[in-house]
Amino acid sequence: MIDTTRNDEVTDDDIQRIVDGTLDPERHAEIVARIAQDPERLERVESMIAHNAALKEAAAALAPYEDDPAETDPRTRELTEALTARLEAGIAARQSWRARLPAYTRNAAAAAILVAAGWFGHSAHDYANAPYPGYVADAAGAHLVFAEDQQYPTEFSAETLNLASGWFAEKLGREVPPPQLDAVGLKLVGARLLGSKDGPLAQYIYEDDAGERLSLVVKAAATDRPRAPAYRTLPQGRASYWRDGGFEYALISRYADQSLHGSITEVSRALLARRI
Amino acid sequence: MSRQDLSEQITGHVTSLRRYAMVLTRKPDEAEDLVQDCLTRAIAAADRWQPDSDLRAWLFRIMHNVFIDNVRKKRVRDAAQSAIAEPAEPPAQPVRVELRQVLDALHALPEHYREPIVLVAINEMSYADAARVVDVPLGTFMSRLARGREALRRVVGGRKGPHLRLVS
Repeated sequence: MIDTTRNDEVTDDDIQRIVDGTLDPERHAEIVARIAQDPERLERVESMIAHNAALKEAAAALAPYEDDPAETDPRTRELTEALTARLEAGIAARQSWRARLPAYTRNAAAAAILVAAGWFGHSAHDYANAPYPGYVADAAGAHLVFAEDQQYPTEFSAETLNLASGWFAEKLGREVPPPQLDAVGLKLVGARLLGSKDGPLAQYIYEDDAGERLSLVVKAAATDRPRAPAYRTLPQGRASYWRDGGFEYALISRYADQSLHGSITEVSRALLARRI
Repeated sequence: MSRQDLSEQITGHVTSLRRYAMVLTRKPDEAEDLVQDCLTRAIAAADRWQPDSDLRAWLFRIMHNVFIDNVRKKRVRDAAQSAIAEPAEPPAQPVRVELRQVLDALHALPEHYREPIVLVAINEMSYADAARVVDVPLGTFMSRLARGREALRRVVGGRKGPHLRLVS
């Protein structure tokens, strides 16, 4: 670390901004003058500036912007074109999807809307270090290990899941109909039972049209008291969890995209709509 | 936004992604794979992109996930095999020896230091945007950037760089 103790007015942030040239000119001059009082520190900062410049130059040399289209990897070119087409199509598709939305949100009573509102409140403040229940960590681990597995993601496929419903009910302590999330474009791939220190967990794996997978993990709750959804970023992905109707739920997606807020919210709403 | 604009924008972003991947990996094949994985995931997630949001930041968030997944997979692979250090392949375009030194030093850093340095250096992305790309709070990002740059400096061995008019 840069030693700032000898001159406490120069912070690490100031130094980064000097390296990137993002300080306003007055402040820049002031900080440089302070840094210059210490030749050793001055040399360190100048090295950082040189290294930063070297990285810029190397990047430009390794992948010039003036790419000859003929030199571009054909698959990259295809994918780039496909992405352009999908982004355009996506805009149109979302518009029509939005139009369908009221059909099932109508089914969700005001309570669900209130929960969803609480949900949005949570999502704005993602307390990375806040504690979360152990089963959420287990759920995230299970998602990482199983959900992306193309060969054997589940013990029971969606088609054979009804054969195992008795076993699931026995382990979870009560009947759990697999949550159907077709209304939000998520197809049930299948499910598996997992052991955890908090007891058995059922992991339902869903897939959207684009093949992106999401896990819904369900366990019996110790209380019937509901808890509004909370939201966490975990090392394995994003998680939301809540309690409702005697079950604890956790939704996990590895996809760390802000727009996941939307998907999870829709899933929460669909589940709540089913319950009401 | 016209189709032409969108197409040009995306082509520019893909070059930025390739630069990022090249600097992070130093290997043309690995970099191209990263770019293609990123584009594949972006296509899969295209419905979730908000048209009024920053397309470049969105693509870089996906690239960050692809990169981190690759690092994890590689770690598993390396743990399974005996860990023999892979020599770096020669780059597609030769780069000056001083640049290569910095690239090699960068490669010696853990990825959570490498990414912030490269994001800020080659994209001229704001700290806040770059923090969102790697999905950490701004304070954490700034601390990684500072530690990463300091570590890079130490690895390069205090090579004396040009004095870029810091003090005239």
